[in-house]
Amino acid sequence: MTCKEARSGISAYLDGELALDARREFDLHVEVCAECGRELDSFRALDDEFRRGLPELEPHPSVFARVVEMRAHDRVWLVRWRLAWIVGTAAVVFLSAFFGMRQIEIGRQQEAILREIDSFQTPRRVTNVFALSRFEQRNNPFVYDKRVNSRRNTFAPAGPAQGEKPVSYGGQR
Amino acid sequence: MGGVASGAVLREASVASVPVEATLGELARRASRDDSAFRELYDRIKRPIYSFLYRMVGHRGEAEELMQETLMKVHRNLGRLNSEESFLGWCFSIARNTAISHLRRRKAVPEPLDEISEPTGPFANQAATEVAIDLQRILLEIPPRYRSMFVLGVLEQREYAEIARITGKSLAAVKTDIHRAREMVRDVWIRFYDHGRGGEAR
Repeated sequence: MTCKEARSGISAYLDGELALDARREFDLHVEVCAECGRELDSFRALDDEFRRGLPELEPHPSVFARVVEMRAHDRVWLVRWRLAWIVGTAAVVFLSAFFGMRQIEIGRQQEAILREIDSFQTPRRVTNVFALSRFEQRNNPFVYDKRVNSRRNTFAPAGPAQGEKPVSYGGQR
Repeated sequence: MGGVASGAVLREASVASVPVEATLGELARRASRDDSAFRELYDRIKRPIYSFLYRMVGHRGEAEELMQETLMKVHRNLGRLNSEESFLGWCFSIARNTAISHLRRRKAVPEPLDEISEPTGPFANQAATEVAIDLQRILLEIPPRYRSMFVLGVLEQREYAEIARITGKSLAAVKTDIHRAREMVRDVWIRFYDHGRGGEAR
């Protein structure tokens, strides 16, 4: 073992962290190298001085009392947060169910309208007013227009676009 | 505590105290609901954790505040405790992070050395208190990162593997840092006593 290796291993030696072989080598080196021996002694003295001079300390009893208080406060907030979380989750579930059902109902109505249009024997103009309930006109006309237009152009505005042939409404396959 | 012999005794005690650590783990599991378990847990960890925090900041009031902060973090994170982990080591890790971030915040306004207040127990004599204050001053001279290494490795005599878990460093880095911390403390110690006691270390 060289002096450099021994110096870097002094702390591990003092802390009992050297493997048995390394420890033996260290002991042998320190026996023959006075300088490393002095280095070891100075660190050992340092450890002794600090361990003797700085004993473990006891916190003031009020520390625990304050922690107990803060813990109780924490628990109250935990209960409030849990309650808020439950209410929030319930609200989200309720609203999702409500709007989901509404969408399903709108879909059903749309299908019914389209079935009715399909059942016409002769071309007939089907107006927006015919197709939609007041509620639907008010709330969701765009979806209806888009959807129905994509299939039959049922809700086309007053006349055909420029350069387009007149549209036949319903009943044509 | 006295020297190398007591160090060896302490290390043996820590090896023999594995069942105690296991019990600490059990207590920790119960402590989030059970007040008496929390009290017992506190009684077991208060001395090492408080001593560590005091050695890190060198001020009783600050150490007590950090102790409260650490305990609240421990309480709030009891559910995340890995059962294989040593509970005391986990607490040390929380205390170390708390102390280092506190010192980082405080860096802008350094505490005057007069603020150091070594607590005195009923059996503490004046000379011992003065020595303790001097040693604490020496400790405060080295950077917090190395100070924590010195306190954990030399004063608390934790094993290197545990310090590596506490600090999140490799075993080799812990070994190097503890040695470096010892060298730093020794340099300040020599300077302190060469120039006469009291403030000249700075």
